[in-house]
Amino acid sequence: MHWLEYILFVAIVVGLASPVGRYLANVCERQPTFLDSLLVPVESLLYRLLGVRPEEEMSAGVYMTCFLLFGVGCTILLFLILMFQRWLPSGPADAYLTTPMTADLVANTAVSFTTTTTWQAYAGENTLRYLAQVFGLVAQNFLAGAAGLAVGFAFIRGIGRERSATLGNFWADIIRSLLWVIIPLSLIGSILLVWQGVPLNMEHYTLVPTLEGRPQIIPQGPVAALEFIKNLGTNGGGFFNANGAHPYANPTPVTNFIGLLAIAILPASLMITFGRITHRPRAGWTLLTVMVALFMLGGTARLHRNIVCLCFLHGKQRTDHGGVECQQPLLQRNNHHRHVGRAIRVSCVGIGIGWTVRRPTSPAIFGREPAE
Amino acid sequence: MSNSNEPAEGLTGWVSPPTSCTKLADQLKSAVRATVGLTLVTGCIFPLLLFAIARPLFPRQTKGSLLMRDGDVVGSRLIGQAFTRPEYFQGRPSAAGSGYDGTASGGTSLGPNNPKLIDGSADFAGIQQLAEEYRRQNALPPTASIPIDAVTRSGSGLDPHISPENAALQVPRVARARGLNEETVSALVTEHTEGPQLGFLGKARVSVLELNLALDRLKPAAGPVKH
Repeated sequence: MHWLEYILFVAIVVGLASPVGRYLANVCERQPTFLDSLLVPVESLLYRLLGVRPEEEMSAGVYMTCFLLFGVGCTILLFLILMFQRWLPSGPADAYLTTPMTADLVANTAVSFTTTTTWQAYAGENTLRYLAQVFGLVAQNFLAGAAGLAVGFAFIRGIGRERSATLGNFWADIIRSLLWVIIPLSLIGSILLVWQGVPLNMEHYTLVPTLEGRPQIIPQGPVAALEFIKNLGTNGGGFFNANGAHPYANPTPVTNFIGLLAIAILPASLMITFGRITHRPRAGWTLLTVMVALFMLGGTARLHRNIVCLCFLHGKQRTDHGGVECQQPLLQRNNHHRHVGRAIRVSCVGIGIGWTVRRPTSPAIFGREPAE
Repeated sequence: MSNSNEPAEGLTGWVSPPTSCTKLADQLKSAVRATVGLTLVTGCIFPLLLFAIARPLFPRQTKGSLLMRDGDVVGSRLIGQAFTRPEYFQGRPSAAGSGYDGTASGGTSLGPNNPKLIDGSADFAGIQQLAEEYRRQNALPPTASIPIDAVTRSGSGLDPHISPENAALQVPRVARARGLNEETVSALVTEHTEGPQLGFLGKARVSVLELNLALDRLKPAAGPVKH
């Protein structure tokens, strides 16, 4: 059964990589897409409001400066939101906020969330106000992910463009990434999560007497707003302490599968985007093949490790205590999906660097073209 | 090679970036505006849009899938409760607070080959101890095989489900405590067993709280139940 899940997962990712990759290439190269009639007016409005001139091309240095300035701006804003979150309206009630958001924890969280490291070093259900989660953390899950996608576009352009000292416009890239890719996908994904049972409300915690008469506090909140973009942006910090293992964050096998797809789909598709923009489609497929091969090796190794660990446990139980049946699913409900995402990113970057270093033909990134 | 145009110092044929773009002050201004503006788009407009679409479509789910009995909330379909009495099916052991504490979700974080997980410590019941208790409660022989979910804590400490195998082992105890016959209780367990989603995603599972509510509807638990 779990092999079927695993194979279906890989099949969907590979199947979607080509259409999504071509779509991403259109977004990157400002080619027409089916969402244009809806989004172009929003795009122009944002350009006007933010004072962005999208046609202005940036050199690698300027692009990087903008990326860093944006990161610093986001970090400061998130720091302020988290520092003063106690004064925000909305639940949960003060009585439940038992962990103080100290300056060092705030600084760690702010830096971490604005760089997609997203180290959730606190238990959300007893630390953060709903509005701090939404206005602070949900926003940063989007923006850090979009900034990453923008830099990915610039990286691909750097390799693809010949005789050009520019990589695109960072502000246009981040706005287009958000409007055409990340926000629409998150909207669909978050609605699917709500359908499966992820809560989305601003209610106070529910106090219930259990069937046996003991009091139990059930946390609430706008959980669905965070949980999908957490995976799509390969961020990782969840709404609750138990993160992806919490039944409100990841209630069913379907939500687990959606989360896994959300982590893998953009990195896999970007390989096809790379092939299109650099006019080397076969290179894109080669990169994707290597990625999938590495992923499947990793998955198999993980299954194997489970077998090894559980054989040990099984053996010990059998000798000591007559046997406890041990089984664990391959794609189980816990935080392992974060490591899968990280592995995909690391292998993607590694292969990308290896491939470009082998063929140093790109002046925009690797310096001047050799004199002829 | 054609040395057609600017600049002079050897950047043959390159297009130089427009100078206005390189002004740091301009970009700083854009950065401040983008930080605030895009935070509003993703931290305000996106959640509002999501609320506007999802809440009318799925009112029960957005409120946390709460379960009602006689007009009162008795729990959530997705959040497990602690059960200790023999007339109720019992969920998995829990590491959330003192057990199924909704404000302190979390697991043990002990690896499968950690001796503490198996042998326990002064204030932590290991798998051996949990297995002994489980066998005693359900009148199983000391060598009986036990499903893993009966003696391990879930990652959140709040998982609402157990395996059908675990439920089956508890059927005789629950039937005896309630004065029901085992077939009736078994049928109720089957009724509350969900198969893998779409036929292949995940595993079959039994929702403990919903099963216990159904038991109470069938025949209220003996002894006083305080509310």
